[in-house]
Amino acid sequence: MTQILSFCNFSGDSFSPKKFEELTDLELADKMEVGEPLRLGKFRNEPATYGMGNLLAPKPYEGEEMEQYPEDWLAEKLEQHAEAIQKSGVEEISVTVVFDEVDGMLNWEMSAKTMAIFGKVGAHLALTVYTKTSEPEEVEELVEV
Amino acid sequence: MEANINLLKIMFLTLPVSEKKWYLLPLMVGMLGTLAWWFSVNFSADDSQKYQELRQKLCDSGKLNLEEILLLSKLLEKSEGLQITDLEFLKELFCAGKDYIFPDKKRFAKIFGKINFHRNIKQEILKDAKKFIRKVGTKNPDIGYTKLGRIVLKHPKTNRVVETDLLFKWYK
Repeated sequence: MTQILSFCNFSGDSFSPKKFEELTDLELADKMEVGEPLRLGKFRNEPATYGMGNLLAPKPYEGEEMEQYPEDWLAEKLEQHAEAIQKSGVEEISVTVVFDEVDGMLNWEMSAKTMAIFGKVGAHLALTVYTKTSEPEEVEELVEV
Repeated sequence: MEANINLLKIMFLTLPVSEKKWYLLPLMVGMLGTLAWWFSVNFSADDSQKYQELRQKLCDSGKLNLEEILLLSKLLEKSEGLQITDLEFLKELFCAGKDYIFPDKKRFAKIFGKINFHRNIKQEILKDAKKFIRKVGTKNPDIGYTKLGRIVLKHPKTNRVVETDLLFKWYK
């Protein structure tokens, strides 16, 4: 069964995930404030020169019917909180959609409204597809579709 | 004096390419000599032989005991400055026979444990690799590594590969 992970990554030289959460009531994952020690990379343990956080789209299927595509949910939040996003110092927005366990063909669509919102806020879209040959049990936090 | 210097500059700039190489030769010889000296000081013949033997054994049998893994890792650190003790990682570096390795999802999960690669690791790599992202021409490149453990980025459509100055182990 195809699984999907959708999230929106916010970052910026003065971006504060904490301020973002206060202004929007949305919870970010994988947060990092400016000045916090970097967890990984070339400058590990040095103070971060940028802030970062991921807004994870909720499980698309609670019942049998999907009410909203995860990327549509992300677009809705970007539109609703456009002002707060700016105020919290976001400079770069990247939407990532990862499909897993794809068997054969993958058909995907995005509504004109969602595309327009992503374009308006300058969000970059990154799409990754894993076919069924990989082992899904080793990847966490993928949501069943 | 200034006129003389200008004259020399003009003379050099107008020299044919083949003659210009003579000026670079002493510099190149010097660099090679320094490299050879550094190698001889830091990497003895015994070490080199042992290093090759262990690599060969690893690739032939796919196995090394703990002592051998630690020794190979130590020699690797001495020669390349890399600290790698993971046997699977060493096997890929030495035995895959490719210039670049682009791991699949299973391998990524094995390297990075239970952390989600796309949510955490890839975002950090892309932040650190900003100048290389521009070179490769995509904001969503495939991530791989060289035999020496440097991260490489690949454009999924053009297959253009750009080697970064980032080490894979920094993100483990």
